[in-house]
Amino acid sequence: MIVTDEVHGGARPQAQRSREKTRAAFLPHLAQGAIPVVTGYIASTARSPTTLGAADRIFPATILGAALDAERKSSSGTDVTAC
Amino acid sequence: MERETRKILGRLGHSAFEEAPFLVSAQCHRVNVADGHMVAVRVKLAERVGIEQVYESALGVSLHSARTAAPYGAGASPSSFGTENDRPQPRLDRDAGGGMSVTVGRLFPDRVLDYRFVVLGHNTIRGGSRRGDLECGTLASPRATARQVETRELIRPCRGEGAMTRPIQVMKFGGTSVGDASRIRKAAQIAAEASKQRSVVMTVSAMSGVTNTLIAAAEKSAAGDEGAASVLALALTAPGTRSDPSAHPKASGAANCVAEIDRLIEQDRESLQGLARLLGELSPRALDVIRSRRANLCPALPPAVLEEIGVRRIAFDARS
Repeated sequence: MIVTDEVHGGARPQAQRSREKTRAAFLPHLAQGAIPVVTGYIASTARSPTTLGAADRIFPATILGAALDAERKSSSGTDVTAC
Repeated sequence: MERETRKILGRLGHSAFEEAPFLVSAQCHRVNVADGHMVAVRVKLAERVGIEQVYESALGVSLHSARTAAPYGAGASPSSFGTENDRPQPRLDRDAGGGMSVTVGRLFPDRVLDYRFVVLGHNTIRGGSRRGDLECGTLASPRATARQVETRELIRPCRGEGAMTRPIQVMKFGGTSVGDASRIRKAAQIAAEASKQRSVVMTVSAMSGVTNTLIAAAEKSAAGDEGAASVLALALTAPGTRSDPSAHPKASGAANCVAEIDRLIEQDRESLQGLARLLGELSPRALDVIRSRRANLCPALPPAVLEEIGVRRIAFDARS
């Protein structure tokens, strides 16, 4: 989904290519009412899997949200389940 | 708590956080409070300072953060100081500053360390939703760093083609919230509920602890420890790690889900044995391959649960 450069362990996402791939992958399923489930900080180059660098690890949901023109991103995380 | 505190107060390195160089000892207690996280702190300082300085330091945090919190209007100072002996209290103080203020109180000299005090913050406002607003505000600020500007460009929405009829919501579930099967089930229920109003995409991290266990085993394997792979496989199939059967869905997906997890664990075992026997080193690229496979295990679970709830779902391989 998120396409990055080839810096393994500290990759930076490439916005336009990530946007194209994400939309192509998700939008048809969303239109049918499905819930796509995707992993957090895992991305890939054209050839192999990468992991996002520390700064971007905070943002994968935001990157996906922007790519999909999402109305909102909720950081449910521990707060919803812990209390 | 022990790691996150040092991470937050640490520095951002090239590809990892450099944790702040001090020790933190912490223990979490769950109590029946609707909202609000309270921390009782005892602290040993690097040098001797008077209690007035500690007090001023608490207000100093307030003055510093007040600038970033400005969009929330007057009275939203991020930190306030309670002087009463029975404050802060969750119900009475968590909503200070619209839930954005952190309240510090009961500051006294400590007989063992230097000082003790109590800190209270609203976990779902300061620690959640409006903190997200704050992050966006920082990214949009004219004072944003080069790195923040780069991130801002990356996440800038581009409207236009393929407009959806329903708004989309991306829901992020962190390590702890998918830490065991019952929490995975709860996360799936939250997503299913939200999907009644919007199109929902779930992003999930690896189950808490699993990734660290895996990386430690990969490092041992790369150092030539052939046994590490089998030890890891045992650890990952242990009760609690793979989720307990009672929380597993009765739907047809459940058996496939368990089989899929077993297959991934077997793959991990083979990869690590390969590391130990053939490579003898752990390159960043090899580590990415191992980590991505493991993180991919987790999405196998929420779809199975969603199916049980009766929601159509698709699990995506983030590598594809």
